[in-house]
Amino acid sequence: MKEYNFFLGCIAPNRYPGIEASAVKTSREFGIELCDFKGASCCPAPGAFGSMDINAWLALAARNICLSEKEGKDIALVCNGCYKSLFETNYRLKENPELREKVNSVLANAGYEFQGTQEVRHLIDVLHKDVGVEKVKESVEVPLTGLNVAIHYGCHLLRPKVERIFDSSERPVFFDELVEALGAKSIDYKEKMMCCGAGGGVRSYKIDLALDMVNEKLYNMTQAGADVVVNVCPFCHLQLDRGQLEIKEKFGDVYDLPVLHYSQLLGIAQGMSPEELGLSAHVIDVEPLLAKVL
Amino acid sequence: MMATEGMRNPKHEQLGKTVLDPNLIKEVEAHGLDKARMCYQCGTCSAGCPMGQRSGLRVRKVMRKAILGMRDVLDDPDLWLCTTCYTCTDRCPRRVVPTDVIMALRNIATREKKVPMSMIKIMGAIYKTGHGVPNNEENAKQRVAVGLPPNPPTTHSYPEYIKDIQTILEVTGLLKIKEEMEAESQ
Repeated sequence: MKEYNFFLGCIAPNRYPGIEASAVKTSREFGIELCDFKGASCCPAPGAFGSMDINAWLALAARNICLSEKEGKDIALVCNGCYKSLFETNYRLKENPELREKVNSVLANAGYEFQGTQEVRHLIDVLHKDVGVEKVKESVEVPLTGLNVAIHYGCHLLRPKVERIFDSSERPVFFDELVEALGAKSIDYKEKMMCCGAGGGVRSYKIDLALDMVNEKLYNMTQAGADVVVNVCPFCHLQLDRGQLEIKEKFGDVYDLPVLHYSQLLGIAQGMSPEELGLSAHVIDVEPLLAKVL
Repeated sequence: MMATEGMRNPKHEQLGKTVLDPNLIKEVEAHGLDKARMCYQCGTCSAGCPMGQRSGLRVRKVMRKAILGMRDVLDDPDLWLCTTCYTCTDRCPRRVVPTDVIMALRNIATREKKVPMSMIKIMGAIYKTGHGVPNNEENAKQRVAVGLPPNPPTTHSYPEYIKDIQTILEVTGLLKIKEEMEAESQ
């Protein structure tokens, strides 16, 4: 049994609780306990908050890490934005003593000190590296045969590459392997590695441009025959799901393409019920997809 | 050698009517971006920029303006259109990290109170609740329906931690910027 403090962030617990619930439940199948992480806050949103003040962003992210250091627990999370904030802060402060000192001088005012004793992991990385594709495959009770999945990796999981741990930011395969382990097919589509358009504070600054980007992605996915979009970032998830309603209202384009976080897709394959997965919180109806696989 | 009339003093340089400020790139470099000046304007950044294909954001131009010291880049509304996807950063042959140069310019613009109010609103939510996107009544019901407590075990359940976040916002000077900009926008 490996225990992690489960860093929730904002969008998963506060907009798509099914992502939180399915991550906890599916992880238990592999002997991973995602524990309550008391007192954690927003990571804070790297593009929006980092744009205002990098040092305040580092300090607020480090405060979250400090809380976990006190408990001696590594951190696991299911959001690419949170991953950028916490993984990058942890990495930079461990590698750069000068920066650590600077950030610690801010943290001292609130009674914290970054030590650099714990790890920050994205759950998709834990599943691929520690659990392994074979074990994920063995956990499947309902094979997702015949399901065409358009994978959206999301930017901050992979980029900037020099501050990440994955082989490639242009042609990664680990997420595809985890999707295909469930019996589904990961389909190729145009501009697969393109951004969803929500980050950097753009979704709240100029939503039409943010939507124009996700509109292009949704079009490309649909053209390639996707039954579902699968992501590992609740903010991309929101942009892909709620964005479809906004695109319909603003531009008149309709896709009705269901959107799932990988934890939810894994939950379906492991036999979780639609109620447990929190699919009613989704804007785009997931029923047609369930009808196809169940 | 004596200074001649033909030698250029970077402190007094102008481009047309624009006064160039050599300190701008130094302010950027102070963010740990010591390779920013290495940009040789190849345009790989703009070529792969998904936002550049649908807006006026030109990363190459932002880089050139930062290096030349054209402070009007801080007033450009397009500076805030970068989604920070880091595609340009991973492809940049000079490793100047254009995305973080844009972030540094945004930090400088924030200090000059040129940050969009949409960003200030996100800060406001974090200041008040610890979350940029806080819980709401409808979501609390959804949480209970999937077997979770109505509030997550974050600052929502432990509000005593919020004051630590507020302290950090205060000592970094961000709170003051927020309050001044909120007062000015009313």
